[in-house]
Amino acid sequence: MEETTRLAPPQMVQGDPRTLTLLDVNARFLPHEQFRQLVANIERDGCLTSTPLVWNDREAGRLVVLSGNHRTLAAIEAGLSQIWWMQIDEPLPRQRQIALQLSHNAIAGQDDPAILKELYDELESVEWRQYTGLDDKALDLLEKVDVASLGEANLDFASVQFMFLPNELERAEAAFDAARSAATADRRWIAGLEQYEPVLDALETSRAAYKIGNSATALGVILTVFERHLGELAEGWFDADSGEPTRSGTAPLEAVFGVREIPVETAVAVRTLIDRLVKDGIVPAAEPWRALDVLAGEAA
Amino acid sequence: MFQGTIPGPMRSIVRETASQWPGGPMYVPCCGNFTIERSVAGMGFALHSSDVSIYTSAVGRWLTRQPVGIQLLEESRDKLGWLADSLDDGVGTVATLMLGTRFLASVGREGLWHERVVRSYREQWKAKHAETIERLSGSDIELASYAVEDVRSWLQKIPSDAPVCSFPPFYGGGYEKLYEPLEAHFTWDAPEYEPLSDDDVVSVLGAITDRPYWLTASNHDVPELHRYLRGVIKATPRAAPFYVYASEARTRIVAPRQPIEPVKAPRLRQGDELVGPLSLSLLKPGQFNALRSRYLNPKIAPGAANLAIAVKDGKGRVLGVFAMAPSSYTPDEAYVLSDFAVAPTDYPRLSKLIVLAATSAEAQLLCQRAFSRRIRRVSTTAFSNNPVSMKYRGLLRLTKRGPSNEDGWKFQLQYQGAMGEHTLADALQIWAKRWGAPTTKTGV
Repeated sequence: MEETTRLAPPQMVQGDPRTLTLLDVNARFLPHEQFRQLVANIERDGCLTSTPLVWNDREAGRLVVLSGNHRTLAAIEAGLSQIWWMQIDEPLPRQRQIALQLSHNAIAGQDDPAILKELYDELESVEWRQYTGLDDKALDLLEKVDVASLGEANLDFASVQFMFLPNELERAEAAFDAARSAATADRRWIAGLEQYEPVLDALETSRAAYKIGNSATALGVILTVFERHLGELAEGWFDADSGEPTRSGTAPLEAVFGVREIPVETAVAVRTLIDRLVKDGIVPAAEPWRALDVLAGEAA
Repeated sequence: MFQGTIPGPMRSIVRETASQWPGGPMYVPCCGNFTIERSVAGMGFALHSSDVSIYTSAVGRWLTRQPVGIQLLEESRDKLGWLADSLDDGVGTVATLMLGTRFLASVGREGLWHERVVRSYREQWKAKHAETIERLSGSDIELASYAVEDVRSWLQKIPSDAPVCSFPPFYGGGYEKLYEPLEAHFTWDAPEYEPLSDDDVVSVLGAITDRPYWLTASNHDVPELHRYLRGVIKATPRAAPFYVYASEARTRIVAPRQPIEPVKAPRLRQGDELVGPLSLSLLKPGQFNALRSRYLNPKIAPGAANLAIAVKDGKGRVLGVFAMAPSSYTPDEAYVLSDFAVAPTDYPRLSKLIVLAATSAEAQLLCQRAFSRRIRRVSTTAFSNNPVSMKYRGLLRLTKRGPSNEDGWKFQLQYQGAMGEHTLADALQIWAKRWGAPTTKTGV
């Protein structure tokens, strides 16, 4: 700290708040609602009731508001043409300007909550309560009322989160962790990032075709179209030109027939045939689908 | 779903005020979803309620053990015959109407969404109907009487010295619209009444206030009742306030308070050189509120953002913020709710870099992720005293200019533009070339 620690007493000055220079860098801010209340209070009072601290920066020819910036701005907003401020006319090193500014913000005291509530509760009119910038909810003065529910049950539903992740394991794991922390879901479906654009396009096309806005309904359209084209999944294991399988293993039955269900009469006939083939020892009981080998052999 | 339920602080005020009233009968006209009755439950009042809507009357009659008297319309049997088993003229009918408020608006309407809603309710009907009956049966509301009667005539009949608590509708037609889908499919001995005119509202208020104990509330500041103003409740800066009027009551106010969460990331400051590459960081609502309060004009009332993003430079310093919401009208458009640069810096056109970042391919990806749809364009509204916004000039296209509907501004300017046609890297390059020249300022 510099040796010349004492300030000459500031003088009280009256002037137009518009002539003052507000701080460019101010750690304090007022949320919109508090600023509006400050403006309303000043409009009601017709004057400022606490005093900004201003430094007369003679070198730059500016009157800089070190403390009370929002009050000054609110006075302008409230239409005051004259306010009083406390003015320091001596040169102030930047270190001291900052120290003054921060100290006015930080050395602000604390409220004893019990006494604060007591004093606030003495205010009888709504307007004076609003004037304080406090409120009954913030001060916990409202009685908690739990009312009995009188509402209908909500539909059962499942939330599904689609996560499109990059191929690299490390980045994919990090992305998965980040996505998992961002939202809750009953299920998470993971896909490659390169599939993101086609999924968005498919959703958009479904929306546009059926004129729907809801994503889940649009997804339902995609799944309906998929069901209609189950037979095309045969491409995953079958070369139609050569008539040969393209891989070993198993294939889903719906990819053979193109449907998930068959008429019940047909099902009965097939079931009866299989039972007979099993009974005759042609098809093993544990592998009833081998009846299809028999059918295929007969067809060949 | 009943939409007229009064907010929590109002319920506290109702209970607190009623605790000062003499026990005995209490009258609740326009009782809606019985929130007043539920708020004073267990205080020893004999509660007499009235209303004229199909929904409220069903609940009120059931609560007073009267037959509900509501049947499915003959012409709705084709579409809603599957409800027949649930209509028992008692709690089953009440549960049906309650669930009906959720899906009846979709019955008979074209479109996959509406079909899906109706199908879902039909599939889950048995379970959801039983669950609703169980909830209703667990309710402890007790009414001494319920009358299907218009507030004007009912107020003439009730004792002049008994307490009255009511939040009568001050907006014409609101409740009629709410119950349209129920009225479209059900028939009942509906009372005939005319919606309240402005004169009627005054006379209803007169009939309520002309007694020793009363409490009423409105979204209107009623000058005639100013001496009875006991409370103002405002949930958010943009929400309509509730004014509470009462004969005698403690004064209470609830003011809007944005949740504020500190943002510890450094900001670009005067004397700092902006360096690439740019990056985008998601902000929590409280963090967005803090940065908006710090850097945006405090005259602008804040609204809630679906997606708020900080734009940072290569050293992790915040350069500015933009916030988006899905457009209500255009499916592939995002609406820029707010965009601003930090200050002070050496870059007088820094806000243009924020607009460029907000329309980048990276921002597009975040919007698409948040809104689950393709986003190709952005739109925004600027309030200005100039016929053109310098911030958007050269970046977005001015599509409409009109007089401002917000105080303090001359013009309201609508802008639109493409999204995703440049990357963040391109954005920095474009901005640096055209608007990125720093100026040197001296200051405190």
